[in-house]
Amino acid sequence: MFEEIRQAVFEGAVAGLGLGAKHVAELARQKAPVRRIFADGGYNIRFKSIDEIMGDRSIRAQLGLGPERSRGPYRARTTFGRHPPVHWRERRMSAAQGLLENYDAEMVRRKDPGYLPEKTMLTSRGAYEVRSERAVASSFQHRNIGGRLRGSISSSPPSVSGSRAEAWVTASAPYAKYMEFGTRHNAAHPFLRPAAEEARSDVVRQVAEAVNQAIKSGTTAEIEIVVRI
Amino acid sequence: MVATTTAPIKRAVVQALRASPSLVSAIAGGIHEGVAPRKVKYPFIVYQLVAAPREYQWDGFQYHSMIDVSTYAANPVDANNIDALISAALDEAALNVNGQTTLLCRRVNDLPTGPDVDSEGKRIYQVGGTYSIWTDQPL
Repeated sequence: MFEEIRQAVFEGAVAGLGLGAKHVAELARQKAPVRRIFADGGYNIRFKSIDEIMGDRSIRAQLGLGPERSRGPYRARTTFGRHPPVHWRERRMSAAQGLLENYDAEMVRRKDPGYLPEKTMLTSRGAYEVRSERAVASSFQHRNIGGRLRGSISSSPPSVSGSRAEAWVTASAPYAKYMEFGTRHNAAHPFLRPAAEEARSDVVRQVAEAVNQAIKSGTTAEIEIVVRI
Repeated sequence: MVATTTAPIKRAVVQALRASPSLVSAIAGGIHEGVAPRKVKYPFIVYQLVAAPREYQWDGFQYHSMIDVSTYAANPVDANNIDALISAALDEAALNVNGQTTLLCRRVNDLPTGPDVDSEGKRIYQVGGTYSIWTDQPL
């Protein structure tokens, strides 16, 4: 009896830990710094991460649906012009050539005396980042412009070894470390550690809820559990 | 009572660093928040607030703040020596935080940073740690 309860508690804690790690990853994505690639906005399109798409996969399979396509909400199609991108197609790497041509043409026109500058979709930093492919973020099926750091944040499912379970939240972009800890040239823009600190109490609550749920489904015993991290 | 922010915590950290004569004499470039100006001499110290979530209780709240303190030096020996002096000044220190009671100030981990190249092409070394500072204040 005691062993059953112990097992239920542990399994519940592991499940709660997995949920907690996903919560931390989501918060870290919100806190991750974003470079100004597009002029005047264009950040309202949020692509689903691989983590989220893979998470929904089993539910979609039960409903007879295939894996979800990684794209933002549908908006009316716009042409390359003076406005920030509002359509997911304009955030794809396949649109990069069009964006760069638009930017370069405007830069050439600006050399004419008396020409009144017009807005471009890319900022000068953005044009550099797109040209050098620094701003490329690979999502489930596509290569997108921008959101590389944000897209690289993911949480691992909890791994169990003996009576110890751990889950990792990682940012795999090569410059994530410099963003988190700063360099000689740039101040730090921490996003992983603040997310973990902010989510601490939520993670504890999620683990406690999952443990209580596991106990209720496994036994009729009434146990109060306090979880500390 | 008006609640104070994290500014007194950062001030207390700088005060604790400046209270160590050996540390002050070891850093030629001073102490900076966030990022040091370009022409500053090595070695110097940079600190930055990482996170400071508030934990509310019945009678007040606690700040569970984390501060990164790193040193930049032209050679790894200097960087590590200064980091040891910073750790001696801050680890388990009783910080004097204005309007708040310090519950703990502890080094919780070392920063996984290493050699870098500055704007003049010089090789520099960044060594530091994260300090967890818990303070309490009544509402």
